[in-house]
Parts: sequence; C-alpha cells; structure tokens
Amino acid sequence: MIFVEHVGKSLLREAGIDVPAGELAKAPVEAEQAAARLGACVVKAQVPVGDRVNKGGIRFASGAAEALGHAHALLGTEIDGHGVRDVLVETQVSGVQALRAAVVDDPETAGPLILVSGTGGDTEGVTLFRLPIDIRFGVTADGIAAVLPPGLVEHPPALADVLARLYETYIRHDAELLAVDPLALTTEGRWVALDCKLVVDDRAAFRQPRLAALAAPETAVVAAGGGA
Amino acid sequence: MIVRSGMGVLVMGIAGEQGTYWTEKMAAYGTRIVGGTDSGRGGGRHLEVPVWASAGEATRSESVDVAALFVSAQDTKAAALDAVRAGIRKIVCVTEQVPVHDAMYIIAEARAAGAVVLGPGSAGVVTTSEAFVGVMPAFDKRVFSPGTIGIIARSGRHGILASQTLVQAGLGVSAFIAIGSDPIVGTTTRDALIALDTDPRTRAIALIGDVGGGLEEDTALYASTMEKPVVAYIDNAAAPSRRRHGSYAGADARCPVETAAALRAAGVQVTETLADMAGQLHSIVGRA
Repeated sequence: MIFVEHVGKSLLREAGIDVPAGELAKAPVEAEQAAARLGACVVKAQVPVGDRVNKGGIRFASGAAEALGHAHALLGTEIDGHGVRDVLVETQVSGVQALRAAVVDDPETAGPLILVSGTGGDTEGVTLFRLPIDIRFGVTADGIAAVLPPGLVEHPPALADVLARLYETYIRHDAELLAVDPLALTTEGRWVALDCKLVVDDRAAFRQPRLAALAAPETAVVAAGGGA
Repeated sequence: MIVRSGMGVLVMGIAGEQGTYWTEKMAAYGTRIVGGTDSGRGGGRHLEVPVWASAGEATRSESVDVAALFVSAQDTKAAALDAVRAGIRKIVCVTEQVPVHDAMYIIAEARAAGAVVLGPGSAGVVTTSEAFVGVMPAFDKRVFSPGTIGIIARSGRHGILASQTLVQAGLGVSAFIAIGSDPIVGTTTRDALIALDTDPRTRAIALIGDVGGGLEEDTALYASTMEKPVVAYIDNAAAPSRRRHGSYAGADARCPVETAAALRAAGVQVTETLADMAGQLHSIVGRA
C-alpha cells in the first residue's frame, strides 16, 4: 500500500516528528483560504509520485492569490497517471541543512535498515549513515546518537531522536519504506520533515485497518509478474 | 537447506487442509514425519502420527530436525518462534503472505539460535528419492527424477518447469531448493548455493534467476569461488514486483539484465531459455 504525503505526515506528527503547518485543500478556494492563514506557502499535489518538484506538482506561493492559481492549475490534473484530487498547502520552511532519512526493509540483512544520505553539493545521494537494526530489540535515540558519524550534524541527539521516532513509526505501521526527503534543520535547530514517502506491507493490511482505508489508488503502477 | 531421508519432520498446522494433504504426500514419499502441531488441540493423533499443542511439547517427546509450517500467515510468527525456541534448527515456512516484519523477526530469532529458515513463501525442498518438505510434486516422476543436478529457484513453479526440462533432456535432479518469492527470506540464493555446493550428490547447479532480492552480487561472488559448475537461466520477463514503490537508494533490487551481467562476470553460464540451460548442463555432466 502506498500513501500520499499528508497521510505519511500525519503519522510522523503522531510520532512527535515536526512537520510544517499545513492544510489539505480539495478546491482552489480552500487552498486560497489556507494560504491566507499560512502566508508564504507551498502548494503540493497529493499524488504518490516521486520527484514531484520537477513534474510540476510542487509550487511555491508568496501568498493567497498565488496559491489559488497554483491550486487551480493542479487540481483535476494528472501526474504520472495519478489524478490530483487534493493539494497540501504548507507554510514555507527554510533550512540550514538538509538530509534524506529513511527506514527500509533490507533484503541483505533481512532486517530493518536506517539510512541517512545527503542532499545537494558533494554529498548529493551519498549514503552518510547506514544502521541495520535487530527488529527484536529495536533502537533508541541514545543508541543511534552513539553511532552517528562525527561531523554529520552539529547536534547529534536531535537527529538521533528523529531517526528513532521514524523507526518506531515504520515498526508501528508495518512499513516497507518510510522516507523523509528532505529532512531540514531549521534556523531554530529543529529537524522538520518536509516530505514523506510511505509504503506499507500489503501482507500486513489485516492489522493496519486504519491505513488500509487510506491507501492511494495504484492506478499508475506497472508491475509485470515476478513472485510465485 | 537440504533435508535428508532420516531427518524427523514436525508439521505445524498438520490438521489444516494443506497440512493434511501435504503430510500424506510427504510421508508417502519417504519423509520421516514424527508428528504435528495443532494449536490448542494437542494430545490426539492425525494421519497416524501424534499431534501436540506446540513445538515445545513435541520436542519433549520426539527428536525433531525440521519444522514445516503450514499455519496461516497471521499465525506464522508465533509458530516459527515456538519451533526455534523448542530447539528445532531447520524451519521450512511454506506459508505465503506473511507480514514482512514478522518474517524479519523470525529470521533474526532463528539466526540468534543457530537455526535456518527457508522462506517464508517457500515451496519447500526436495531431495530426490529421499525426502521432501513443502508443497512440491516430488512424487511425480516426470518432474523429479534422481540425478546429479541441484536446482535453486525462488518459486515452486519455476522449479517444476526447470526440473521437468532437465528430466526431459535425460538429466536428473539431486535436490531442489525453493527460496521463496517473498521480499525478505531466511535462505538467500547464495545460502542455497552453498548448501548444494557442499552436497555430495550434486555435481552441477541450475540457478533459476526469477529476479529480486538485490543479492545478486553476493550470489555471484560465491559462485566465482565454486568448483562445481553453475548454469543460470534468467527470466527476462520477470520483474521485481516488490520494489515497485519501495525502491530507495541503498536497498534496490536489480533488473534481470544486471543480474545476468553480475553472474556472467562471476563465470556463471547464463542462458536465455530453460532448454539451453538443460543443454549446457547436459554437456557438463552427461546423462544421469
């Protein structure tokens, strides 16, 4: 099961991970009203598609009028075969540092894997931190902080705290993949999840009834065979 | 994992429809079934073998080498942990659709105890004319005829096709291992390769690469150290369905072309049809 950004972010928020203030809008006028409350904002098409920035699905607005225009342009269109039925209007967040963080099922270790990689410049796409977890014992923020590479961030405990919460969210919801890209450090020293990609194991749908009802339609999926 | 004729097998979920059907088939083939479990209903007998409430109870009265899991996907984690904690060292998990986090938990627990898991979602293991554990038509002579070729496949379906092709070409099969089509499995292709490499009855190995797992380099690395020849058939039509959404840097599955290239670089002969694979193996080992 794959989920659009705002569903994933609601789970992050429940887990105590900061996400930007935002409102979901199903009509351009709702986006306009949200922007009037939020100020400078981002209008984001809620489709389960990667690289939405370059596909025109994420647009920056300085205020309500611009947000209205963006929402008008996005709602009812399709991105990679997925219909845009709502947009997330979020307050703009400027970061002093940005990373990518994820927890994934790792076939190599047959267990969960916490990954942190770089964005931009020399570290673009480079894996900076890789921590396999024994799923029987999980991991604590202290445990992560102790093994974060020196120099990765100025204040390791804050990042470790977010990664531990990300891991708990991945476990609680039977995720195959829970990725935050980018995870931005604000000038106030807080890590904020600016995006969220969530894929939950179909096999676990029976014990994730709330999520099963929220899964995005997989209209654009191209999958040929494999398996038994 | 290879199951030999004398090994004692405990069928967990023996009273279910699948458990009953396959227990009869396994026993008739020569697999030594020591009994079964039926959660909450121990004490009686089923198919002329004792039934216990748990693997822990079973191992108090019988020596068990292999636990074959025929329980539901939801009950698999508890059953597998029961088996591992009862000291059983080989776990064959036939059940499909086991939640991946449960599979990871089972595998972690098994590894810590020195046990090996085949699957989840494995069609099982066949040691031709000795024993089989799982859901394979080992008893069908057109599919499994004794010989010297070891076969590794993810799915039982691919294993049957490969074995049938080899048998039609006049070759025979020493052992077959289905590693399972689930995204996370306890026995990888590499592990299965090691098992067949050390199996004295196996002279050459047929690797049916229906893709996935992202472990091709590991497999290729081991293959490059082997004396026994390995011939691979890579199904180009098969795509890794699992990673359709989950693709992420650092944990990607490979496409068939990359798999084939990695194996070729390791000295493995890669063929594009099962018939070609049979031909290559024929020229290596001759008629069985």
